[in-house]
Amino acid sequence: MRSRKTWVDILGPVFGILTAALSVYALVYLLWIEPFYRGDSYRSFEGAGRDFTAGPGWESQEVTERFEGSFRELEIRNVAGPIVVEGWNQDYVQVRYVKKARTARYLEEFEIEIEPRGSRLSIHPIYRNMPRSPFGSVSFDVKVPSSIKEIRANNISGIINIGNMGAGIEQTLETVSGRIDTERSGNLKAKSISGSIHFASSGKTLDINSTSGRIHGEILGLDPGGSVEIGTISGAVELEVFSGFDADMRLQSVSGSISCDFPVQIIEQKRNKLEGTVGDGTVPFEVKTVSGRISLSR
Amino acid sequence: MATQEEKIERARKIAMKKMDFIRHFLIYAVVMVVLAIINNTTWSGYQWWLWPALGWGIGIVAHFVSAFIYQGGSLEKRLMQRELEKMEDEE
Repeated sequence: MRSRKTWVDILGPVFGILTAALSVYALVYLLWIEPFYRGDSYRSFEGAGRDFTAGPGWESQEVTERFEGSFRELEIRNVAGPIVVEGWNQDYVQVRYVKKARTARYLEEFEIEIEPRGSRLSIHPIYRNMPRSPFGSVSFDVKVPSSIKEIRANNISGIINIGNMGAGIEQTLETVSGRIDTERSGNLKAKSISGSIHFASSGKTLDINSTSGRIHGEILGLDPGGSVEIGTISGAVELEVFSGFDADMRLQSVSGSISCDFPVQIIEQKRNKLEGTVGDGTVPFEVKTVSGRISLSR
Repeated sequence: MATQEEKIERARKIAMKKMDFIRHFLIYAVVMVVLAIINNTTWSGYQWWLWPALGWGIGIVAHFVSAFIYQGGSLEKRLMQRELEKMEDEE
């Protein structure tokens, strides 16, 4: 005769199934928030990439503001998240941002300061010192009119992307971790600790510096009296330079090759060093890398 | 053919395994509830308590399988028989 089932025989399978269901839920949740993702930093804007705050546990709010006035200078600082600045044919500045915080309450407290001061428009998030860092990333998408003559962007973790600008706009772009991309600039100063730099410049001075990341640029023009200084520790430097440029050139790579498409009056040439003049040699032109090749092409 | 004593011993082991599983599950449930409460009272966003829930949960499911689904089959018996025969040969 078979004995009746005990409570252990009934509850055991129930507990087992419950645990399996909880484990599956935990797995799905933890994979969804991408805890091991180590790709490009914060590129969530307009679905352009992935953001570790994209999963559950983050509230977000999108705000668009309009600023009238003939601004000449744009200063934008961010801690985490992309900075995208684009020129447009309207005569006002439009600032669109998406801010993220742990809860709706923290989202309300998370302030983005946009301050017009004379001809300068200054934008930056305010991260107040609070326990457990409830504030997340901010994605900035700023549209600027042609009156803007100078852009200064500073980011800690996130890309800087400047596009659709007229020639002659002075740019100072700095990020700790993230790519810098500028389609067209006047005088340019760009610095990245960890991230590649892509640029096109036609100004007088060019100062590009990266610790770990490739530098790729187009030099479309170089005024006499200017200077070019490009350096990276780990990464190649690839430059496309306009025909007919004059340079007092010094290219040096510790452990990489050097190639140059221009006729150089050589002063010193070694496997990893090339010093000489191109054309009249009026503009100091220095490129240095520790680990990576240097190439100059037309 | 198993003797009555062997059957009783085997039944005792299975019953013990089932009771162990119930105890194991109850400890797991209590700890997870406490962690979930701590998580959600101090921080309502990221559910970090799911990490231990997942890791320990896999162990609980394995325990459930061994207690209720796979309780040792003929291979185990044959291995035991072989070991006994070896011991007898050595004597």
